[in-house]
Amino acid sequence: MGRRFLKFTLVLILFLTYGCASSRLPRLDLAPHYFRPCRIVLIPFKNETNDPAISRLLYRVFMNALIEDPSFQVIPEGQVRHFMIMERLLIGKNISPSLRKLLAQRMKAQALVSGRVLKLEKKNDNIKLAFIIEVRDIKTGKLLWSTYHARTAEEYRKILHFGRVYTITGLVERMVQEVLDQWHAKHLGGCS
Amino acid sequence: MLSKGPGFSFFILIIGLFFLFSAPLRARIVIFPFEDLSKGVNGVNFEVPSKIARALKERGVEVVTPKEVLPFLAQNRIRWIGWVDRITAIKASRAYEANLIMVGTVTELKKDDPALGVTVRLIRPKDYRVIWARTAVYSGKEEVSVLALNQLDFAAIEKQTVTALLKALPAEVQKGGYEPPVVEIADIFLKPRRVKGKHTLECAVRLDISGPYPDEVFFVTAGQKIPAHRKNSMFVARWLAPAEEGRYPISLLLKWSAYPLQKKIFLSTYFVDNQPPNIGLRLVQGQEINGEIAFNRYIYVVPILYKSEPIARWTFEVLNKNKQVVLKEEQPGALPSKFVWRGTNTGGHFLPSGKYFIRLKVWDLAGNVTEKGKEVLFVRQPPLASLIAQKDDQNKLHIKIKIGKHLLPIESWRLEFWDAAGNLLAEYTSTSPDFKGITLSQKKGPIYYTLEVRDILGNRSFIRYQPLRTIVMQASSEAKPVVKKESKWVEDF
Repeated sequence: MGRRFLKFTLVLILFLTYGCASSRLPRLDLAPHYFRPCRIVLIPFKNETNDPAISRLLYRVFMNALIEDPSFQVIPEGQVRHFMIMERLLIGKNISPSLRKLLAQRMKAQALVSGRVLKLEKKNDNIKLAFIIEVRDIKTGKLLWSTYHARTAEEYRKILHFGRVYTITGLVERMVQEVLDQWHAKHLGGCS
Repeated sequence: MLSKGPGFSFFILIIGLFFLFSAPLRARIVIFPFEDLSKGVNGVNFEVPSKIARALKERGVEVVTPKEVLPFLAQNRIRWIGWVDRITAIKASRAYEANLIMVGTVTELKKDDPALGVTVRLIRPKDYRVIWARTAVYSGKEEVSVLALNQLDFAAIEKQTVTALLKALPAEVQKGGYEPPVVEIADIFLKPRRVKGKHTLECAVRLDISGPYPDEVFFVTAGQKIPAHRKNSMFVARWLAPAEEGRYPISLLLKWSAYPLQKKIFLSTYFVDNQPPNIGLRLVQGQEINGEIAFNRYIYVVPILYKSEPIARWTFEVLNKNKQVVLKEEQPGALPSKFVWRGTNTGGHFLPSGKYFIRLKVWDLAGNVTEKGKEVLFVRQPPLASLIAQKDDQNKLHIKIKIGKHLLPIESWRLEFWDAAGNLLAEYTSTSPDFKGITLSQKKGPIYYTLEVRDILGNRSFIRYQPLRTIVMQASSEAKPVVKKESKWVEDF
């Protein structure tokens, strides 16, 4: 009786926790000679999906997370936008070396953070999101590190419906936190 | 009746100080309307920030609600929300005597299937720093309890989100403050940036100021203080550049009479330049012949700027021997790496062979002009060559090559004789320009010849397979005297 109950309990646990089996970490690629920047410029992200607002959503959530992170000092968005307006720099366009140097000079920053939203799929209640964040040396334009992250809302399910994410903002927030957790693990922030 | 003596004044002072220091030093937050991404990239939301304003008021924080900010946004023509630039932040803090600005974005808003996502940031205009940022998101589906016993509606979700957002407000929210005006240079126009000594300079500046405009504005340069007059939104001034060459900085001095405050801001620099550009010309692809550079197809004229400086414009001219300009090309901007002249005029037609003068005029940004020139010999026409054949008594042909007037020395020639059947009778080649006579024995039938003459530049005349016409030589003794016929009247006429 006791063994039967044990078997049944094990099968039940396996069945209920099936959804939370996958744990995909962001993929972090570090350049050989990367350094730890402190003061960073976060430029608006490029959108490669059909949803026009997703890049801005990710940009805002990512910026908020970085502002709250003591490892980085983020240049206010208004300063960056003002620069982009004055220099007629469009979102998603490549920044020329001269403009990048001017940006570094004006903002007194060490790194330029850019991002691209690669995929956003909404099927029934499931959401799939993929993005890439690139951190470059603002003076030379060389890539310091990049992070690719792709997740579905279903992957956060713990048991039954618990833990499952139903909003894009919620998914973005969790993914951004995972990215920053990984950056912390590698001590990539230069302020602390 | 109370007498207003020193005791009464002291009482008033004490009361005043009590009210001054007992006033709470709380923050005053200007809450801008939020950007609403649920309505698209240009969506605006007043509801959520108004809810946040109400929640802050309940916590004892002074706020300026989004609807109260609207006139400020319209007056300052702010066309974006979700972020705020430095000057706008300072202007808003001055306008509402606030020390913090709140901007935010509604990332998700669903009322039927309740969900709300909001990101907010608090900006301190004093040093333009984001001092606090939060993201909160809640959805009805995520908050459903076991067996769906507790389902939340949108109002509950909204309340939960706002509470989560304001859970950990920074200590700064409890403080107050008021900042002096901040000045930023929006535009600067300086004309010209390079100028001759004692020539006029004009400078105009547009300022972004958070607060009142200064009462006095000066441009400070080369030890002089030039007062600027206000023209619409700009401050303009004119002055004479110093006579001495050099680089001079310009600064802007702003003075407010209301309070003892003056600011000096570096603007730009200008150069006083009295020297014309130092240039030289180098001719490439030509051939030096008797001290002259000659060419037949094209010549490269390479301008050399001995001392690097910006060039305003240049003129490239070619003059003929009568000093008439046959080719002219002028362009603004820097000098090209080289000019290529193919011996053509402005219309693109080839010019006759002869001597030409190439002239390059260069102006620097200060208006100093210089010119350099070089003479070249252009020879495109081939040497005119003909053959003279004389037959003597012994039936021998004495052949000479006759070259017409040519500007260049002859380098080589080649002569071939052929009979009517196409057999080569004789061939003469020389790489020297000397033409010694050739003697050829006459054979039966006509003789044909081919003559090629080449000058030192490679211009070539080529006479191909022409019949040789001979002149009969006559001895001087056989020459008969010319008899002059006498004219007579005809009788019959």
